[in-house]
Amino acid sequence: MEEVLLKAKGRDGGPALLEDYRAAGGYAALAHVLRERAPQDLVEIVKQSGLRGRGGAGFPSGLKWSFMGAPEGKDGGARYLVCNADEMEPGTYKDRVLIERNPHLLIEGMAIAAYAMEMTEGYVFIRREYFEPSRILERALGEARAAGLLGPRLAGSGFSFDIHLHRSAGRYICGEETALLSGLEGRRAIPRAKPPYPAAHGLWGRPTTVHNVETLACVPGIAAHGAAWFKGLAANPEGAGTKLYAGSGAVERPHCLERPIGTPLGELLEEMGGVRGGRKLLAVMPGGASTNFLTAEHLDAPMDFDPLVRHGSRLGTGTFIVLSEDDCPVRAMVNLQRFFARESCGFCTPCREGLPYGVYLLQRLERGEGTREEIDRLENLYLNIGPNSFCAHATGAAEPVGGLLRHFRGILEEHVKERGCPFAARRELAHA
Amino acid sequence: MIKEMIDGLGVTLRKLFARPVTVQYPEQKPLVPARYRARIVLTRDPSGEERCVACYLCSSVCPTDCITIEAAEREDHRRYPAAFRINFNRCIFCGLCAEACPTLALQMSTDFEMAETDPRELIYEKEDLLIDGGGKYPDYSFWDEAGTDVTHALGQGLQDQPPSDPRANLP
Amino acid sequence: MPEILFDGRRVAVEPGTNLVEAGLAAGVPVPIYCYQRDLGPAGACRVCAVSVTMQGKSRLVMACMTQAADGMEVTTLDPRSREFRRWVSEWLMMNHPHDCPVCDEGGECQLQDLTIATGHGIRRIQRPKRTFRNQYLGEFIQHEMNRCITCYRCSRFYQEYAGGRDFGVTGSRDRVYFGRFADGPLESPFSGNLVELCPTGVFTDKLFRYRSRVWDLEISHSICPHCSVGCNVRPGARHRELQRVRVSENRAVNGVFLCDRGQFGHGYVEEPRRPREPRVAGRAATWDEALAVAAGDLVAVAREHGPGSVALVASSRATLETHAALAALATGPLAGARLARFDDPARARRALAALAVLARAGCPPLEQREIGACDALLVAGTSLVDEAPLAALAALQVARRGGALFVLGAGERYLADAAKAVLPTHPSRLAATLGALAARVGGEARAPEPREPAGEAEVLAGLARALREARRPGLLFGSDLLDGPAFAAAASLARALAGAGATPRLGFLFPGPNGFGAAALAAADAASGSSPAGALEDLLAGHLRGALLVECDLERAGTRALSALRELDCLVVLDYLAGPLVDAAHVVLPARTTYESSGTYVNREGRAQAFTGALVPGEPVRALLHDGSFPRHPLPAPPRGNSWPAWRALEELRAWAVGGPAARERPEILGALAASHPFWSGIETLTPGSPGAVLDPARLAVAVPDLAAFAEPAAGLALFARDRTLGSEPLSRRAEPMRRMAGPPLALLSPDDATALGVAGRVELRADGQAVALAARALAGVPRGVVIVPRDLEWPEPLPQGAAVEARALAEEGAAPGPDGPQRAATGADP
Repeated sequence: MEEVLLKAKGRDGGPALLEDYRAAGGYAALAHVLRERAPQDLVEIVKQSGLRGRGGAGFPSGLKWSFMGAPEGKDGGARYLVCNADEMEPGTYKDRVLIERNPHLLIEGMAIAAYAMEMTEGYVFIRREYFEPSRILERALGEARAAGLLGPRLAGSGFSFDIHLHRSAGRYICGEETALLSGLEGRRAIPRAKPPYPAAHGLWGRPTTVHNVETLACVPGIAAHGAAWFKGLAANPEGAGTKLYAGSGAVERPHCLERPIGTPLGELLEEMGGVRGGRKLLAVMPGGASTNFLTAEHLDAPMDFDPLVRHGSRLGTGTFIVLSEDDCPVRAMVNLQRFFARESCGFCTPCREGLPYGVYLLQRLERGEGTREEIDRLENLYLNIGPNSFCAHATGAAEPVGGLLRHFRGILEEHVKERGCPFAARRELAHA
Repeated sequence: MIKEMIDGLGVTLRKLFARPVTVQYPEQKPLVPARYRARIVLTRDPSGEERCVACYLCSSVCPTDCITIEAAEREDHRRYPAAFRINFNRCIFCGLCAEACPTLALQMSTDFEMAETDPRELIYEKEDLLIDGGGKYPDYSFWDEAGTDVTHALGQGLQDQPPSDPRANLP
Repeated sequence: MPEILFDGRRVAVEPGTNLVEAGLAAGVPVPIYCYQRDLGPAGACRVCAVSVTMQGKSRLVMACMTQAADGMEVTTLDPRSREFRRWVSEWLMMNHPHDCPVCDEGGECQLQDLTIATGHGIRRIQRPKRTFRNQYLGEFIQHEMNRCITCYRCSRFYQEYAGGRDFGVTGSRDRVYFGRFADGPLESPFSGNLVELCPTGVFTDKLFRYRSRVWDLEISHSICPHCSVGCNVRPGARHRELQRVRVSENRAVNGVFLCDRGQFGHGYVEEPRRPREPRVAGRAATWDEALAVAAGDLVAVAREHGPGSVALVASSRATLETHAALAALATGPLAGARLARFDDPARARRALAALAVLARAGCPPLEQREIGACDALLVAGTSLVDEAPLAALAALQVARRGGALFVLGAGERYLADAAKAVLPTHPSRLAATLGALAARVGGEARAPEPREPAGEAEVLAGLARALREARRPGLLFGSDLLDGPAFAAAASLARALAGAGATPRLGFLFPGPNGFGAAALAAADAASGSSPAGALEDLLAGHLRGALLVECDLERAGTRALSALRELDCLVVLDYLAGPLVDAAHVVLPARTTYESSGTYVNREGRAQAFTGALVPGEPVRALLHDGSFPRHPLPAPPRGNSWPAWRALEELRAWAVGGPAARERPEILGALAASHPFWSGIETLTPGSPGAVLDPARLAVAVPDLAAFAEPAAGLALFARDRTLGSEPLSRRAEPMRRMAGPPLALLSPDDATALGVAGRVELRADGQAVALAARALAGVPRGVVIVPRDLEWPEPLPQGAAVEARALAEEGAAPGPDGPQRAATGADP
């Protein structure tokens, strides 16, 4: 298939520099848009394109853009576009690949989005540990600025826009859009109450839109080729565009690849060489750590937002984690929940105290110290944490536990009955 | 009615030949169950320190208001009763104080022989109430169980983790 | 108005009301930790979860974060919300140290109450608990972080509401820590509110540490006697000991907040040197003996030298009852005795000048609750946080709510950051500046005067515009830093604003808790011919022969005045504070403190508030303990508990000196006062704990007192004294640990003067052949040519406001404290 997001190639496997990007047709869309499109038209095109946020929630981007049209926010003051590159979801590394290979696509996407939403400043909020991507992006920003593609009156038009790179101080919660804004302002990165939404009261109280890296990277294509083209890229009729999929865990060749959105899970798994060591598939978390399990029966499920919801999970970031029949899902869950408990910002009680409680119960169960009552308590605990916390962090943490209890309750009960992990016993048998 | 009278006299007749349940006190001492509710004592924890932390729960729950306490802080930050008085003239030995005591300091003993001729003798101060040892619960120490740092360094209590550093996020 | 069904009760609430308040309106107390009405919702604790059914759909919401909408059905009783709240309690108790027996919060602990109420009783998790190191936060507040439930009330109050910067929140996950960057005393003068705000025992009152359970306390409705704001407080006492003072909610005055001076300044009640027995010529005596000697001596002096040679002096910390009884004493043989209502002639004149402005301005009073509601507020002639801390806290809310706050004055250090503009104004130029402002408000753009500092014109123009355009403008003036022309200019500014169609609310500060009342009585005295401060001036100058001093603080009146008082033929002192006059008096009559008696104070806005006592005076039981034992012998009366309320003692004295029955009940005395002038009508009907009644000074005929202008000295600096936040007025000055927290006295200079003089650490001030050395600091809010010292700074002879002093830098001795000691407000501190 034709790659869209990873089309421009750098030399020797390095990032696509400005000339590489231009050679692949880059920045044509920006020039075209600045010359011939009114901002409102662009918002309309993105709306029709069916682009949905690639950061995990899948919110329709065109709708988000249209929120910025409120006349109250257009008082001549600053309006901000923030790119969320704080990619900390366990198992997720697609934004890193995108920035490392094709940084100019993000810059062009941001410039077009900013033009459409009449913004003045852009921020890329990048994960602290992304040292190399920050360096690459910084260099690309310099190139773009030098070429007049960023800064005052860019590309000879009347539109001025510049992008600042901000490296996060490093917490998972900074990926939550309002916590990100708090962090960007230099305050404690804790989520804010919504409403007011960022479109009305965002960064420093100004209208703000926050987008994932990949979402913004889809924008130049839409701007250049139109909504119908973008819709046509998808593998399933309800989808739109291409998607960066990535695998991790028990796959033979974990890597990141671009495929039409809606490509079935099984096909993606095949391309990565199947389950490691030819073992049988136990479960897949389709979109990072905070999505529900899929099992072998879901292998033909199209990897797109709505179809996965119908299967009781979510596309999330589209970067799946694979468990083979050798991997104890309880043990995996302990690991994940420890992560979520540690990365809680500590603002609200269910998340701050409830998640460590969950870790406590899961650890007991995993070690075989648990009881049946504790399995029920675990279920009840996460049912109460999930919908009742301040932001989506604990909700995301509760989702895979719900899946564990739905799909693998039997395994949990085995842990109780055998007073230990049956997988460990089986592994020992296999090795013996 | 006649029948009832005969029944009643029958009981009397039977008991006439049964072994008496009374004893010839004071020559004979009665056997008192271990959980008998008599004279109130203040016990000590395993380290020999007085257990009472002067929390005022016993004096609050006392229906006859016979307990008076004055709390104070020792040099080592231990909370203790600077004065502790029970007026046994008023005490009804209901045991609510012992039940309320969160540190197991205040317990009821089996000693019921408290008769005095002068009511002033029944006003017990702390030195009269304190006994050696832990009474019915020899091993319990409130300060070791609670998350305080009075009898041990912070985080060294039986229920505690070592102090955490809010400026770090290592596992 | 949205109408909702709350647990089966129908209630209509204002639009925008959240479900916690709606629940209260319906009589359902929704459990809360993080929500507090003045701080607003946070959504952190999640214990206020309720089930809401709307249009057939039911979901769990947080009551504090949800606004009532028409047709909502809300319930706290359904299984789902109950189960969730039970979980919240279990989560919050996971790391709780379970040290309730030794926790002073026990008995008034919201965590305790709600944990039981939500049904969490058994610990189902066997995991060691997380612990935190505690910090030393000063002498007022004990820190115990292990008890924290992370409701963020403390940090939200401290930083957002009170503008403090040295305390906040750090950490994340289950390691959220509330404290300072490093150990040290909390700098905000409102830190005591953390004790009351914390729903559990993280912040407890160090003065109350390990003293009592709250249910054992005798608590009364009282009024804070430490300044003229008149905050409502609840003193708590047990075993004849005042153990703590807490704020009492009164939305008409202080709301739910109190300053540290009011909360922790009560140590004077238990001061060891406090006079507790009547004394005659230095020997203990019975009341009858003492009263007989006092009455006999006063009458003898009056007979011998004429009643005009006897002064009857009370101060602004004496109650209305005491003042009324004192006036009643001037009859019979004492008719014609000279009355003084203040213990400082200059402050008496300024209080009367303020009252005169209020009486004539025709503006509504700037009540305490109105301060924060102003959309434009001018604070002039005061360092507000030092003179009336809670008024400063309210003024800060003007800026927080987006209003315009302006400060004209000398030495502002709390409102500086929040204010739209701060104009450091030399007190001698305040009148001119206010006059220029009045002219601008009236529409004349008067040309800036030649001496006007650069930038002043723009500030005044912006200020005039803000005041004129405000819907609720307010003017708040101090007292100690205003001269005669400044009072007149304040009046003309209020008139100009009223003329421009923006009638402001007008307020002044007064000295002492009853300064307004004393001034109103002095105005009446003046109407009958006596000069407001003449009696006191004559007394201190040695022109009189006998005096009765009631709750007077003449300790700092100077050596000449003190020796004049010592040489009187008859000196009777009625007071509860020790001091040189108590030692020198021929007769000492021990009085009761505010917290031991009933009475009435009139606060700075003219609100008369009644209060009642929490304890009977006497030697505390604690002092009588011996070896773990209470006193073994029955006591017929509280030992050393032989003091009376001042008014009661004065009435008995009248019975001895003049004859006639002594009034034994407050209403008898107040009834006579109420009958004396329509201004006081209804005063006898006030009950403690009620919002009180605002008196209208327009009903009084107040003569403008003769008050000179401050002159700008030709050489040297102009010296001004004012209260400091902690430990400078006579009550908290005697209180431990207030003295330690207040630190040594401090001279504040403008940065320019400090540089010019080379002042680094200490300074020597010299005037009239006397010298005083003290620590010094440069402060941006101090105008050039001014040195500000605390009012309790000891000079051999007191200097008038505005006196010229020479300042000389001294070599620094170690590290000097920050402005006004370590307890300074963080805002507006050193440049």
